[in-house]
Amino acid sequence: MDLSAYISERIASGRKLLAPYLCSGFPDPSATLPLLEALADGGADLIELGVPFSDPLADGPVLQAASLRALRAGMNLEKTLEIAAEFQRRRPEVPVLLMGYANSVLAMGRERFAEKAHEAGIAGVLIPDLPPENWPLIQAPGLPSLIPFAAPNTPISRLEALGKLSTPFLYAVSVLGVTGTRDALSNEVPAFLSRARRHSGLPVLAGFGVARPEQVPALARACDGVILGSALAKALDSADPKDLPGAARAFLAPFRDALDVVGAPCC
Amino acid sequence: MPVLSETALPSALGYFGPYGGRFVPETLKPALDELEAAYEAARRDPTFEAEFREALVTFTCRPTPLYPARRLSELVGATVLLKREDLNHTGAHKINNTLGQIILAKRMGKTRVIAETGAGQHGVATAAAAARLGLRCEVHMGEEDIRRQQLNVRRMELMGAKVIPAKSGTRTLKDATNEAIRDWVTNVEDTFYLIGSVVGPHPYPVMVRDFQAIIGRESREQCLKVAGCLPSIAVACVGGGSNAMGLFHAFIGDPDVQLVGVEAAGRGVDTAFHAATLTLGKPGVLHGAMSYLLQDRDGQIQEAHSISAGLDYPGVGPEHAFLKDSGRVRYESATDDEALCAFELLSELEGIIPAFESSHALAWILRNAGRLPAGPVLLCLSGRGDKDLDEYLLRTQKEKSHGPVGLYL
Repeated sequence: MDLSAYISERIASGRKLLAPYLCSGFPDPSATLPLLEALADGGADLIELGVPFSDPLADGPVLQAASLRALRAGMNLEKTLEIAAEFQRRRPEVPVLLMGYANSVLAMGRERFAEKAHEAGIAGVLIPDLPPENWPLIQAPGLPSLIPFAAPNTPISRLEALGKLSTPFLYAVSVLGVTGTRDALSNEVPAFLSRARRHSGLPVLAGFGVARPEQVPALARACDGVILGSALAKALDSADPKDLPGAARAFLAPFRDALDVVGAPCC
Repeated sequence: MPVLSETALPSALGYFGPYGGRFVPETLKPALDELEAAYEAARRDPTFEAEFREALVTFTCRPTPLYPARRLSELVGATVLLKREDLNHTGAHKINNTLGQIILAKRMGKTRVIAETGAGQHGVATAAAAARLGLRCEVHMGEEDIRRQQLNVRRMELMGAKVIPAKSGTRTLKDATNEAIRDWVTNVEDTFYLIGSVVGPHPYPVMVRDFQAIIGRESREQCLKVAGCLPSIAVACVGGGSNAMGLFHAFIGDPDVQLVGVEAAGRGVDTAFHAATLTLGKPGVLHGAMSYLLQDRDGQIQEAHSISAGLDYPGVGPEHAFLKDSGRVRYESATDDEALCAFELLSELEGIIPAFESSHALAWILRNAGRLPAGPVLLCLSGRGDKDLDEYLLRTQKEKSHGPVGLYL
């Protein structure tokens, strides 16, 4: 899938994007495929599928725990790609992005990773500990688009440089810190999102810290969509294990509604 | 003699060959850029050098002596010169680096320093340096290590530092480092991350090496004075690798000086319980840099095992990775048992109780007794062993189990 075209079309139609993050293998490996389908049913525009790693240094306690649980259940990059491939066969209209740490990709080997990610239909790859300067280390024929990150302390000159990478979007890390929900997001977040969008010229999705649907309007007005990670993991952790897909759909619904209100023409 | 070094490596982006670099979240890029610029300015600034030198002389006791270990020399059939880093304030070479970085932190206007620590030696050295300059200090330490190293926890607290338990993963040094990085990402604006070894993203490996390079420079000059020649071989233990890098750096350009780094083989390199990263690891990315790592086939980081908490780390400094590949330094290993044996032996023969870490380097020399090259053997005695007595007593049940000297005589 051409992720850039897909995102631009959605934005052009006035839609604000909803991008849930799911750690592959959490809460258990057999749940991942049904959960991906539930997220698609729940109104996800994109899904970030996380590859569990032993030392996830950009993650807070919730996603660390999810990663550890998935690893203990035997999840890895290879199996994650197989699940993604099966999901893409079932739901080709919802792009899947792979999110993981550099060492998982390096251990697989760049040629092999690029080939397998391509075969699985992965639309984009996010690696928080691989800044663009180091992208050449994993570039190989077939590799899906790499997505850069920006943070509130990223200088304007850097935002401009990231914009020149011709990438489908910019992942805006809303807060200084690791992943995890924040009760209150500072008033400076929308200003940062606007700055990121203006100076990179890229579509901007905001992640890190989003906990509740009430936080969505202020964010979504300043960017093109939101990413939900830890909040979803928490919801799944406390859900009835017999109906995880139901819990995932119920979790997404109010976020979808909040985004659609912002995206509606009257606003 | 300058206290800071000048060499071509690393490259502008912080690479030693394919190793090093910066593998960090975007949030840390501005902080690393700021640190790099501040360090570059400081190392060219005579007032920084003067302040660092003064701290090295008056706060720790540099120059540390080079001690001809006569009874040990007789035993191994070669002149062994001990670089007495164990005589530093706080008991190990770690203070050289923390003094350098704390002065830099203060220059940068940072009000809070954080550090990671395994056994607590780097944490103690950071707490001491921070107290000296009145900076707030918080040290991340694995919950498991806190339990095992109560004395060092109390030392840090006594000097005004706060010890934060790392409860993730294996709850040891690797995880304390993850937590320190997470802390830094969150508090990047006022916080200076004081890394304890030649690891982490650029510029840490080069900066820590430069602050430790005083070990090798002093040794070189002292060896020329004492022995009238350069050492034929220089040996140091390698965990992250800061005392070894500090020792080797002055000799890299001397082709006749053999360099040997000794890793911890734990229960043996043929078991799953070791910390021999360069001997058995594969290149990968951990804690912000590319280097050799203990990892499984999926790239998950594996737990390291060593009797010595300071060597118990699944990574290693990127410059060591480069020096291994280039062949300039030979990396070997010594087991827990060999290190214990060396620990007892140096205590008995020379009246010097070495740290378990340094005992690994000595163990390699003992193993090679009779095969050592002619000319002085330089050994970096990186720390003193008082901190290891609890573990020693636990391992040996108050009996000397190794009959150390007898084994070699």
